[in-house]
Amino acid sequence: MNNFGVFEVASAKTTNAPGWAYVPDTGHRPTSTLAPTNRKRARNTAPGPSLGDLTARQEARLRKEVDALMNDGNRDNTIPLPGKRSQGKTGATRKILQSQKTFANHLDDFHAMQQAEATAAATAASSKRGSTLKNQTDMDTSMTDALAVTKPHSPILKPLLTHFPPPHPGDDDPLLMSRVPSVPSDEEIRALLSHPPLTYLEARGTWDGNDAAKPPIRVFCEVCGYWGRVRCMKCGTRVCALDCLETHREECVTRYGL
Amino acid sequence: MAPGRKAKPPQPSRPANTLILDNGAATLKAGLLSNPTTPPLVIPNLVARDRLRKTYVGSEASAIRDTSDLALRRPVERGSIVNWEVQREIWDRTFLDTGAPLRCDPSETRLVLTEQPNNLPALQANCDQIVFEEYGFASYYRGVGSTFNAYHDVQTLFRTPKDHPTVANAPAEVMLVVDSGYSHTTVTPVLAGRAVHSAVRRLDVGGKLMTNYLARLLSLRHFDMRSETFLVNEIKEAACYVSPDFRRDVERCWKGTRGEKWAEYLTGGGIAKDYILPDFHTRWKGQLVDYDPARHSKSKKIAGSDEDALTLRNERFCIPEIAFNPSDMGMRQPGLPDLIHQSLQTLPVGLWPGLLANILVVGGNVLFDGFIQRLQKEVVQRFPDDCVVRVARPADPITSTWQGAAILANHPHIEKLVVTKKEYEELGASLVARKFAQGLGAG
Repeated sequence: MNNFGVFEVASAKTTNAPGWAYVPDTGHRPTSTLAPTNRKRARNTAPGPSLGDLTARQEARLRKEVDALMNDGNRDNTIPLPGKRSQGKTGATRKILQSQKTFANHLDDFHAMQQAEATAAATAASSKRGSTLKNQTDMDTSMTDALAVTKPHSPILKPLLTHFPPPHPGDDDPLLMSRVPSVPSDEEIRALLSHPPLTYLEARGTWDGNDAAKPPIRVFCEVCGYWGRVRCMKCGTRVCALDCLETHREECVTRYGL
Repeated sequence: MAPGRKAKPPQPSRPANTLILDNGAATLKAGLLSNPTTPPLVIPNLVARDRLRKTYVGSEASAIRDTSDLALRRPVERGSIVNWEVQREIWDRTFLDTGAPLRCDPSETRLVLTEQPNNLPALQANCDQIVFEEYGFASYYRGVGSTFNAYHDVQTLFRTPKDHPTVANAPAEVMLVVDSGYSHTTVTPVLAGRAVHSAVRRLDVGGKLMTNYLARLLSLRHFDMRSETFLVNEIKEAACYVSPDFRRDVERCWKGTRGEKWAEYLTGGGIAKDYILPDFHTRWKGQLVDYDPARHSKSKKIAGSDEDALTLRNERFCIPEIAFNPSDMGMRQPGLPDLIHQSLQTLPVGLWPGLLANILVVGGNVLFDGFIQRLQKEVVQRFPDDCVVRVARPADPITSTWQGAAILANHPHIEKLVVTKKEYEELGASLVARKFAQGLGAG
């Protein structure tokens, strides 16, 4: 736009004049006047870096899609087994064999049990009578040591037996010296090894989405797999260019609202 | 105790047989221990039903010719045995029924079974109960699969020059095992055959996720293949590779602007391949061939060529890429190199040089071309320059854990680890589970 030859330069300086003012425009400002009035546009320009540019609904859809990828096939897996086997020799095994629980069910059970234990421990610690109970459980756990054999053993990591090369006058040169951190002592290694296994969720890698040191999250065209540079106005799906956007629009109408 | 009975019976002698089971999500690796170790049987761990509603169990599934529209049911879910009804059927056919390939009597057999690290206690208890109460194995050890790899001669895999032979049959002292299987990928630091539990990390990207993701991409871009898991898995194994330079390869697969197609796109650019789909009349196996533009020309289509070709472009390297960048498909988890970094962050720095110089990768996903090179390249970038990073894979990464378990079964360590049926009945399930969790322990 031809602004009558005037170029506006963004500056941090605010000039006060009667009636109007130049105000530096420093990026996003969620004031009522500047926020988009269009509901869809407002949804698609939610603040936040990288992955945060997804709305809650898109994120939920994404999570659902990823979960679906972990299952077998897209139908319920009820293939009856050929032939008849015995129903289990003891009551316990019969129960296990007939169980139709999935891994997700077991995981939920485990979490529920963990929470119940945590609350039970909390209430036991807070109540006065709990202290005696706690002592009892302490004794209980100390009994399990009967299984462990606690006699001195040879070190877990054996010392190196190789012959070191003959010393050289340049060995002490600070430029040539290599600094190798010392191997932890045997006690430290034993302490490490006696750590109990983590639970299923604890062992999962932790995700720090807002780590600035990490490269930004890459987005891809959903149609052809090239970089996703353009977003569909309706559903926020990434596409690479107009060509793919048109392909996407054909089905975007039918998929809208999912 | 009755007064007349002896206080302690003499140490029971070793059972006659040792059965080693590596119970994976995709395949079951099973074998009886013999003196010159024979390779294990690799059996698909599933029940399948084809279009004609005929059911195939375990090893029968590898003989299916018409794999279209095959419904699968797997007993192993996310790395642990969940559905024991199916699993028992497959186990029975492997080593119990008459005519089973590994027929043995459980009451005089020792079972060595692998499991995933950080398994749920309820599932572990189920497993122990089935093994002792349903099958009645004489003795039993259930251990983390990754740790068994320590019993290989690891330094030969890394081709370390040796000035003196290492102590034969001793577990490797320091190593980092990356197990990338069908359910997930785990990173386990192993010290002298013992897992460092506090540093075990898991990434929920495995072969199954990759196959399903490829099925989704192909369904969006070509034909609907969501119910063709079996075929898509074969496409994945035949065509996918890990890109050494992801950015460059994506650019090379660009199709060009709307007006004009890019020249490299038309010729294939060295990346595009055609997968000739089976039609299940004359062709029973798919086939990967080089991309040929003439195959897709209009004249050929009008002439009514009988072969259906699926052109694979960036799908070839985008699929294995999600093991390195799960965020590419929207998964909120760190990639494999970051996972190794997270795992080592919890350990003293003094162990880093040893662990980084001995990274052993096992599992089916490792078979992708370029996996090792890419992993090595990315791990180097995340650690100090002074650390030497070596990544190696055993000759057969799928059966490597089984082979390691077979060496362990001959090792004196196993006597400390196993639990006999009698001990199980005396001590109870929970103490047995605790003993397995402790493993060799700090002792």
